[in-house]
Amino acid sequence: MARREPGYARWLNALVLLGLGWLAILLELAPLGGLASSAPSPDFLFCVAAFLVVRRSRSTPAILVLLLGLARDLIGGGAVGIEALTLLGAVELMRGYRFWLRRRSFVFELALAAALAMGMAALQVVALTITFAPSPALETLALGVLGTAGAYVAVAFLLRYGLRLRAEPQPRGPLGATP
Amino acid sequence: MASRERGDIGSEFWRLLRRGVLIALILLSVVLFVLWRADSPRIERIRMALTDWASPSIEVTANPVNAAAHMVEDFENFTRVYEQNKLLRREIQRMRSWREAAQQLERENAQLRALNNLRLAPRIGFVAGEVIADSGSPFAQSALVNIGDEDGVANGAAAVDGKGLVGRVVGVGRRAARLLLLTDFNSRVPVKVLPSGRRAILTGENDDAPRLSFLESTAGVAAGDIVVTSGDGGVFPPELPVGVVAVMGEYGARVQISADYERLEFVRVLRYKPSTRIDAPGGLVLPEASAWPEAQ
Repeated sequence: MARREPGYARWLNALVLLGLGWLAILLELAPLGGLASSAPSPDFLFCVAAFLVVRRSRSTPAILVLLLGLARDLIGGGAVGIEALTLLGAVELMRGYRFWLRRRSFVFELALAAALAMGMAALQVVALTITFAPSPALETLALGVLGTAGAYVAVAFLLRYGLRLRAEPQPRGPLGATP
Repeated sequence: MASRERGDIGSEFWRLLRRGVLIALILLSVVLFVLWRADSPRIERIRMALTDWASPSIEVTANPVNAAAHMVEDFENFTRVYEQNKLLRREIQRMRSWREAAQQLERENAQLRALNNLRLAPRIGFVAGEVIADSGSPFAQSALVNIGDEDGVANGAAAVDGKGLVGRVVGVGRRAARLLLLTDFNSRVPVKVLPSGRRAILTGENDDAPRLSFLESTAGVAAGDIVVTSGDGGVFPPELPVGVVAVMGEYGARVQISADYERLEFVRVLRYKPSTRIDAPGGLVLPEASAWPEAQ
C-alpha cells in the first residue's frame, strides 16, 4: 500500500520550487560581462520548473510557476506576460508526459525540454509579430535555445545529485497498474 | 462516512479555488502583455516597485556571479598575455601622440572661448552606480543599476560609461533604475555624424551595431566617422560620444558603439537640464502702452 504524503510536505516541496525558481531568476539576471553580450542567458527558470514537474508534479503548482514567470518578466525588462504564459504552457506539457518520461532515459526528457524551449521562443516571436513588436534575430533565439538545453543537463545533474531530488512514488491503480 | 464527505467537499473547494486563481493569473498575464504593448506607464511602475523590492537579493547574487565571470575572463587573458602585452605597448605609443594633440587642442580651445566669449553649456552633474543585472533575454537589452530616485536619478536621463553613451533611464525606483541600452529595439537617440554634421536617429535592433535611421543624406558620411548625440529634443546633452560609423552599405549605416558593453560594471547617470526650455506657447508680443496714443 502506498504511503500517503502528509499535507505540509507538499507545501514544503513547493517552497523548494519557489526558492530554486527565484535563484534561477537571479542567475538569469546576473550581469556576466563579455559572456552576457555574446549570447542570451539560458532559461534557468524553465529548467528548474521542468525538472521538478517531471519528478514532483504535485509540489510544482501551475500557479507558482506562472507567478515566478511573471516576476521574471517584470524584473527582466522584456515583454511582460507572454514569456510567463509560454513557460506555463511548456511546464504543463512536461507535466502531461511525466509518467512516460520517468520510464525512459534522460535523453528523451532532454529532447522534449529542448523542443519545448524552441516552441516557447517561437510562440513569443509569433505573439510579438502579431502585435507589431520587433523580434530578435533567429540566430540569437537559436543560441538561447541551445543554452537552455545545455543548462537543463547541468540543472538536472545539480538537483538530482547535489540536492538529491528524486521522483515521488508513482500512483498505482487498483490492480497495481501504472498510468 | 460524514467526515469523508466533508473532506471530499473541502478538497473539491480547494481544487476549484486553485483553478479560479490560475485562470485569473492567466488573464492578468494577457492584460499585462496588452498594457506593455500599449506602452502603459503603469507597467514600468509595477516593474520598478518589484525591482526595488528585489534589488538587495539581485545585488547579493550578482557579486559572486560577477566574480566567477571575472575568473573566466582572467583565465582567458592569462592565455593571451604575450599578445596583449604587444597590443598595449602599441596602444601606449598611440596614446602618447594623442595626449600631445589633446593638450594642444585644449589650449587652443581655451583661447578661442576667451576670444569669442562663447556661452558654455550648462554644467552637467552626474551620479554613479553599479550595474546589478541585465535582462539576459534575447527579447530585450536593458540593465538595472543600484541608484534610483533617492540618488536623484530622473526618467529619461542619459547614462554613460568611461567611453561613451550607454543608454537612457526608462524606469526609476527608489533604490534602482532600469537603463534601456542603445542596442534595444525600443531605443531611439538623435545623433549627428562628424565631421559632416549630418543628423540621424540611432535605432537599436537587438544586435551589436545599431542602425542610423533617417540619415539626412549619405553624402560626406563614411566608415570611421564619429557619431555623437545631437542634443535634439533636449533629452540628452549634445556632443556625447556614441560611436563610430562601422559600415556604410546599401541599406544604410551601422554604428559601432563606443561604450564597453562587455565590461559594463559602473555607469554615470547624467543630471542634465537643457539651457532653454519652452513649456508653453508664447503670448502675443505687444508694444508698450506708451507707444499707442489712441489708447491713452
